[in-house]
Amino acid sequence: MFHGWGEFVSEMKLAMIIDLAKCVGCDACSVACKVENATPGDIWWAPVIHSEVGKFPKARLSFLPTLCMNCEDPPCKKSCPTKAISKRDDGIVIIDEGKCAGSRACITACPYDAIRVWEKESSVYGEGRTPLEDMAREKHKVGAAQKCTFCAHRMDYAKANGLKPGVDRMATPACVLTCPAECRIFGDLEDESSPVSKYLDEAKKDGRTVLSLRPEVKTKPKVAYMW
Amino acid sequence: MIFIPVLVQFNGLVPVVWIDILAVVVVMVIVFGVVYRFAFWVKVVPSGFFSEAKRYITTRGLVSLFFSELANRVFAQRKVLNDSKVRRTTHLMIFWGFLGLAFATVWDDVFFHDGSLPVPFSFDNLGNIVGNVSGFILLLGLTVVVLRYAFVGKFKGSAKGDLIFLIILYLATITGFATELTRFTGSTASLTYSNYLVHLGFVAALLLSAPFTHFFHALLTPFMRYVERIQDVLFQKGVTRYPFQKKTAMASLAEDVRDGKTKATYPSWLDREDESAKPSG
Repeated sequence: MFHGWGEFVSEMKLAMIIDLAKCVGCDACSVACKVENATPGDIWWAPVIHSEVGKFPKARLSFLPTLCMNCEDPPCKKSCPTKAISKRDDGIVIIDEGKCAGSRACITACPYDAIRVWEKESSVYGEGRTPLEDMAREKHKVGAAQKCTFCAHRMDYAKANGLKPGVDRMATPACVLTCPAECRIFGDLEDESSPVSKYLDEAKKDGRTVLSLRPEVKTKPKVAYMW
Repeated sequence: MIFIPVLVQFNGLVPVVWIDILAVVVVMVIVFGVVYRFAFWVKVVPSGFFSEAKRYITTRGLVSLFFSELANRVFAQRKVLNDSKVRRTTHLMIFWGFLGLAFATVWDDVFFHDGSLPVPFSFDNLGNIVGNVSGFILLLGLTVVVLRYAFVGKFKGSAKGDLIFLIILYLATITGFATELTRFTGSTASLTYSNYLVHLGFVAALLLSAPFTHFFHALLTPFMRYVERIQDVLFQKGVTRYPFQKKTAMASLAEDVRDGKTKATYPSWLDREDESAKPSG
């Protein structure tokens, strides 16, 4: 049951399900994320991995949307020498770019390749910066690590306005809102009426395969995939 | 004003043997701290990374990559901090200034172990020349960094991670120069001694805190870059398996699960605490 934000906020466990059977590899999630979070030119927080599978005549394209798994037990947090990485009450793992010293330990520690360092400020179109690049300069620090935050700013807005994650638009990550195939489902796992809980329950009933990536590293990722 | 440099017998204040004993204790604590901290970060690297890497690029290749990284990324700092010329230059100044001071300290310890240092700026002592030039370079670099943190809007508040390290290093450098200045201006020996003691205190603090402050990035960052370099080299060789190419490996895993080649492990931590239904997939 959803208790609302506030006194029971620590019970919240935000998570995302990605239904791979629905993904069409359009990259809309990647672009939506880039615009929402004003990530620098060559940094994508939610890239889709496109790969060719099989051989002719049974060759096909395969898509794997990726992002930070916001792990229950994040190895990046443990690895950070300046304690720039923390986990919020709602389970979102956050990098404080101001504290980050660019040691890159988190990059090595992350089993999902979800963290990037903004190495150099540059413009995609040569001279001058685009409005998005100006925003990137304001929001991010060159030399610091950055990653997907499950659109934490939207979750903060949701908390302040009593909105329900994964249901209300302003309480839902940009990639989830944008996906035309609706293959990303988001919400609070502790709330049985949340979209993510319902989807997971439905999948179990249907006998679908639910998997997490690299379970052997025991990070308990809060992004799960479904076939 | 005529300056009369004085020959200072530092062992007149504190016997050199005491400083030696203190130095041994400091070194032991540092070694313990570095080993303790580094043991943790080695574990950050996926298990079997180096042994697997050895299969593809041999031990000789790994050693060669290590020295290539050491020369290019650490000493020349190529392709490091390339976002800003000022940032890179100041970083280089602090790095080489510190190394120069380390050289001067070792030099003086070897050739003037009894504490009878020649007068400052005397050109017959390499330790003096290197020490003063390096100290000046370090101080200049540090000053630019501190000024940028204090007054340039873009950098304000961005030094949270290295503030303790910066402050101690700055104070150690300034008190070092203060000691030199008191010697150079012919101040009383007691003033020189007190400056020297304060300087020694800051140097000890700098070194003792090194494993726990931003100073540690001097070891950690090159090590992590070395790991990344190995990944790059293996990627160029077409090795796409985990832990060298995490994303490609993840895509393969998902495909293998789809095709039934690998059995998926259900992420049970996603279940609600009151969950009784067990996964069937």
